Amino acid sequence: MDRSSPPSEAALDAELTRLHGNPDHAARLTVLHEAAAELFRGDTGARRFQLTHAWVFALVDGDEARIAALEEELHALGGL
Amino acid sequence: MLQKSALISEIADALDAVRQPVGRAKGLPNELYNTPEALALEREKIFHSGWASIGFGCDVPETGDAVPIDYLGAPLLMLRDRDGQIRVFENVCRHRGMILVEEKKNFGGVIRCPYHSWCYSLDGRLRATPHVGGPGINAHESVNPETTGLTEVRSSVLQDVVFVNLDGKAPPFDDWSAGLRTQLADYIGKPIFYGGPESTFAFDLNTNWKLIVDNNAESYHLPWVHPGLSSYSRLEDHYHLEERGGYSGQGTLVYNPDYGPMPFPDFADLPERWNSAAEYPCFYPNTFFSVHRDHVWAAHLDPKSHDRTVERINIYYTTEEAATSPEYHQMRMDNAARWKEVLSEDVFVTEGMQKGRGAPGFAGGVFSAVMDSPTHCFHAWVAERLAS
Repeated sequence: MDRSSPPSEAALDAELTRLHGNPDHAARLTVLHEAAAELFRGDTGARRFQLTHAWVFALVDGDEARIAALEEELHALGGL
Repeated sequence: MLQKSALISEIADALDAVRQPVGRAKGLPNELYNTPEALALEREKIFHSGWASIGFGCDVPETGDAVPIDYLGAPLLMLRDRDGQIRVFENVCRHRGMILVEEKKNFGGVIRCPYHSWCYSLDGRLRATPHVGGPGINAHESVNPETTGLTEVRSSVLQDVVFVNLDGKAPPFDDWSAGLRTQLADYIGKPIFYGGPESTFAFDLNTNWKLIVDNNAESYHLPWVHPGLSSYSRLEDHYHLEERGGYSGQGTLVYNPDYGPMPFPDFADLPERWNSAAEYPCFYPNTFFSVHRDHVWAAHLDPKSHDRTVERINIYYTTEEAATSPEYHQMRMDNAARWKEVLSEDVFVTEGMQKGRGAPGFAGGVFSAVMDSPTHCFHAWVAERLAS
């Protein structure tokens, strides 16, 4: 699974579109949605939305450490 | 077209005739072979209300492996959980009934519904309900994860064959299979090792599933249909296996295979009689077992319609080395080819009997009280289940 650093905003959007919902790329989608969440530091709702998707794909990937971190963050944002 | 209730009324007298002592009994009537309603009736009265096989444990060898199964119209998901146990669930999301898994795959994490991404862990727990309370709100009082996990189906494994009881009301599997397990007691519990893809073969047969059981249950046909087999294991070397209500089949007192310069290893601590014996019980409704001192095989019948059945056979050996090592590769190939040839010889019979059920004057046929009692046992069991 590709867990490399996320690309620029435009490239991020393109890659999210390309991989849309593909569980075979769950680890990568987690990274991309976490990166997307970073773009919404001032918008709790949008950040929570992106972190929700990051969380789902971390669950699909079975990455326990990432799942725990995302659940902690979602709790803090009122998403869980 | 007959409805199920009309069908059962129409054949009530015929079912009574089946349940007479073998010398006076008739076989099951044509209607149970020729109509889609018959399979619908059997689905309700036999397959979904009792225990029946759906596949093999070796179909999901690794933790996280999952395979979807269409069990006479019921979508099931057979998987191997994190503890290595085989579990069977209904293959539908508890949210809107979407099919969860369309093809065999390995799940490293959860199973995600492709519709709204509700996620289930391999033990069936509802693990995530994204956006269920609105965008980014992933929990809501209207959905209780404690009561909204995957619907688990009762399952049990015997000799790597996976059985389910869909309606949850059948007796415990150990009770249901007690007679068979007594019959095979010398083998059950001993480790068996799947011989891999080269030890699997299947037939897609234009026949009703019951006719395949009929044929496998009796040895009467061996001299006429299996000349090669009969050349060393004669009709008079065979005996019946019968337990009215559970299984029937055949055994032979002559088992002496020739694999060339080296044998397969035998199971440890078998009683002496297995040096030359082998047995082939048909476990009702849809599973065949076979036991020999150096290998076993199991067959699963998957009724696709009233006149089409897929039969899959897996062969297992006594040690991992015999099952997987290159040293035994050619022997495994030869053994599988030998069994495939024998079972191929039955195809014209099972398909021919299906065609014969189109004859209006055929009313179930008669049984030889001497040679056909294992077949009659099966017919009587079916009749009992349908009439119950």
